[in-house]
Amino acid sequence: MIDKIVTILKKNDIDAWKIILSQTEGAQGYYIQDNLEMIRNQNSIEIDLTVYKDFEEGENKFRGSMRINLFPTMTDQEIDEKIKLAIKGSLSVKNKWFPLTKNNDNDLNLKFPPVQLDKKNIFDWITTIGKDLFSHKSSDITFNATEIFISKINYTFLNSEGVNHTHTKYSGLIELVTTATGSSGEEIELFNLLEFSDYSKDWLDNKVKTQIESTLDRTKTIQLPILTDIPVIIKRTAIREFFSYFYMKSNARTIFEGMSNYEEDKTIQNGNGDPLTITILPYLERSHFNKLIDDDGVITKPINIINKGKVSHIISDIQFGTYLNKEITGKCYNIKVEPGSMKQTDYEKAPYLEAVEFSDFSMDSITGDFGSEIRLAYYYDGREKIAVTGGSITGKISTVIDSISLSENIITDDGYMGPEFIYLKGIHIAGSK
Amino acid sequence: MENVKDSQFLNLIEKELITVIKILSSSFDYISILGSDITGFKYEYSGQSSSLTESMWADRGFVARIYKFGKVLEYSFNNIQPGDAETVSKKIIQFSENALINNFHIYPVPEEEPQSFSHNENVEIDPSEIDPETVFSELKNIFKETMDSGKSVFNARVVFEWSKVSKIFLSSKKKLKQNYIWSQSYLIPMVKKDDMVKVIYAAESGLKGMELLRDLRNQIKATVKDGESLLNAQSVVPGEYEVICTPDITGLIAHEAFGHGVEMDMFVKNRALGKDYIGKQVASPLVNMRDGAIPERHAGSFHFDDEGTAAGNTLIIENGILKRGISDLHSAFSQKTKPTGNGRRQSYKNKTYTRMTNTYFEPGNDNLESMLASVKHGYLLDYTQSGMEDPKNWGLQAIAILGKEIKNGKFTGKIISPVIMTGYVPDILKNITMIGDKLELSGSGYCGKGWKEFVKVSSGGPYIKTRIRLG
Repeated sequence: MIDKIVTILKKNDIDAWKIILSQTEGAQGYYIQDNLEMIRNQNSIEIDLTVYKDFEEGENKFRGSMRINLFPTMTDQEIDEKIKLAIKGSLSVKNKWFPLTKNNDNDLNLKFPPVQLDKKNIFDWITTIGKDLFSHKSSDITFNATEIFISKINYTFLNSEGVNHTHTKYSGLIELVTTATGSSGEEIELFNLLEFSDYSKDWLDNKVKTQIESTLDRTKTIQLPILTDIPVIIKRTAIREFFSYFYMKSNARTIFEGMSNYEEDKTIQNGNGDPLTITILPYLERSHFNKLIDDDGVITKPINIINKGKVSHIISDIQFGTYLNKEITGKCYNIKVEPGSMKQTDYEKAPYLEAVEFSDFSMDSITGDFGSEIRLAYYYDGREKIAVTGGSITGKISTVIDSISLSENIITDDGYMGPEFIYLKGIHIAGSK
Repeated sequence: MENVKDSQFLNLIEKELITVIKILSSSFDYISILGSDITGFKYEYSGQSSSLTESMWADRGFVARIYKFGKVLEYSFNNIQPGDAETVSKKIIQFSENALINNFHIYPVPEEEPQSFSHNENVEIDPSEIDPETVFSELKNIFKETMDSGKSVFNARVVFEWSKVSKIFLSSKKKLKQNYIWSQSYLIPMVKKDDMVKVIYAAESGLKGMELLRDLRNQIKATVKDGESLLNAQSVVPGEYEVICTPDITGLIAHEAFGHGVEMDMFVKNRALGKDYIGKQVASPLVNMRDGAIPERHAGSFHFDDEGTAAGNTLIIENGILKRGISDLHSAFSQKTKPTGNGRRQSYKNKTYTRMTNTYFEPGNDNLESMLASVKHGYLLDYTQSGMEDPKNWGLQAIAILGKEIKNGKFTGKIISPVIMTGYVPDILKNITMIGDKLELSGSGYCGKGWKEFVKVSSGGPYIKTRIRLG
């Protein structure tokens, strides 16, 4: 298919092009309780083609582009017609000129480390993971509506500048829904989406045990009371979302469009909080964010974006990095945060709210406003720790950044390595009477 | 008005799919094939850059659903050429032989009546016929007018996206075809004061074409004004307030608070509290709520769903009483009800779930002026940011970008942002005391089931007045 497309591209008047092809073999298992409701297979070939046309106006040089999808069912004539449509479209996209990634022989040997998922057929993994999961069943906990997806993806990137790279990767997903019954007979549910690029039983066991514990705790909750002026501790999946603010602010496109004022050496923290040091990594064990090359074909590498409270590097893709005259770093998505100085025992002496499960923790990466409804938190009133639910927390990065404290111990989760908790002051807590 | 054309590709491959069904009919108790050919483009323009890409919804592929001894399998694929029917059939058989050895939940074979139809919707200005230069020229005009509409505006993004959806559903008794175009457009002004940046948006959507951009243009001044007001916004003092929701926020509540809660596949899995409340009071007697791909023509509209069930129009809440849920084939069977035409999938690569279409509260008899006048201290909430369902425990998370303070029936000029609405769903719905007299729908976003499985929907209603906890 690629040869056919390249042949047609060469017959057309195009200045540059790139192709990203993903060939996916997927297995999907859907359960009601521990009975399969359905098994699905996915067998697909997806092709993204971007064509580039250069043009000039006066002394200004522009590079227009248009990205299109091609399908394996397309005839040569259909492909040719769509490429011609893309050429026409690209001439109406007036962007300052930027280069494409050049061939680099180092590309040839890039591959992910070996994974467990490669040792069995993807359909067999559905059964194996299902068994591992349901082994945690007990009289207290029901697994409901579990979904398990495993995909094997052959990924190819090539462009007109000679980059030609292929690798295989795996992608997995488990929708984990746990149900428990409270003392008055009401059923309580928690659900999480676990995404991964490799599987281990120990990893799943830990995830399941934590969720079971939280589900059982949620059966004992009272409504979040009205609370003022107490610190809020954030744990688990919300932490990565919290730090995604700094990822977006350090992004070349965000800066180019005026939505971020980050620049190298800019101080973003003043105060007595733990200084932030954040690095973006191409690879973390089991992370579904792992990338060997980015969507421009740039080989990914670690990028230290914040160093001790100062901006150190900008995440630069090839287009917007060129516009800002920055070193092209490529884009990857795993976030590593250096630990801080705080122990859990440091905050356990005075009242606090420790939030662990949210409906959908949201961070506005432009304004720095964040918040969510709470599904499970622990409120310590100075005497006892009580499980609470409902209500919400809201805050602003500008309010919390100077006094933020980070735990000294670290965790690794999907796309995140860093402090186990963040300790924040100045958070609004909306409880009920 | 122009008639949306058939997909030539689906017409070409139809015979091959019918042959696959014939070949496999002797091996399975039932087989259906859904074919999709979705094309469309997304145009984005901002001051310093622009882009033109295929729509994220564009796709072309097939899914075969097969039943054997009550076990259900699906085989999704996107590579079939004329003459490939034998090969594809063999692959499906091979897949089924491996998969059917597992223990399954058992479903009956769908009972189908012979049915054959083809619907081609109309569109005023077909975007597939418009030159990209013309689209960008329109976007540039909107951009320029936005930049000129407020001193604090430092940039803006204008987006126009359209999708032409062509689908074919085939089984031994059914041959259904539909072709329609939906479009959406956004205006996103960015405003700044010192280091503070705020962003707001206006959106238009529907079974429309390029004409959407006219409607978007009419929103420029009001949107910029609201965006600039965010620069002086304060945090809300957490507490319970009287609120008036704009139709946009009403739709968010209808969708998140109750729409997800009556998706009957969640009843089957015992994941929705609504199952135990059929026939019971769940909202104020003023409240009537519907979901339906017809008769409203909006982003969630179609003529048949992804299981070949004709589009429905379901009255979910009548005078505050929960009457019924919405369903796909399997959930309707499990709950012993009729399928309502809500079996939808993100693409041929995804499973069908029960999903909303156009979901809304029906209009009442109040007007906005009288609603505002009745508020002692509260807020008018506007601009949806996000929402998340919790049908099992009837919690609500909905975030509005902006709230305008009202005291003694008048706006005070104070703005709060962002605003998180939380609470127990029946409490929020029972607190509704006034309902506006005009229905408005909005379908510029998309709906997920949890954190995945995205489909186009619309939601809305009239202005409503209720009490809700804000944070």
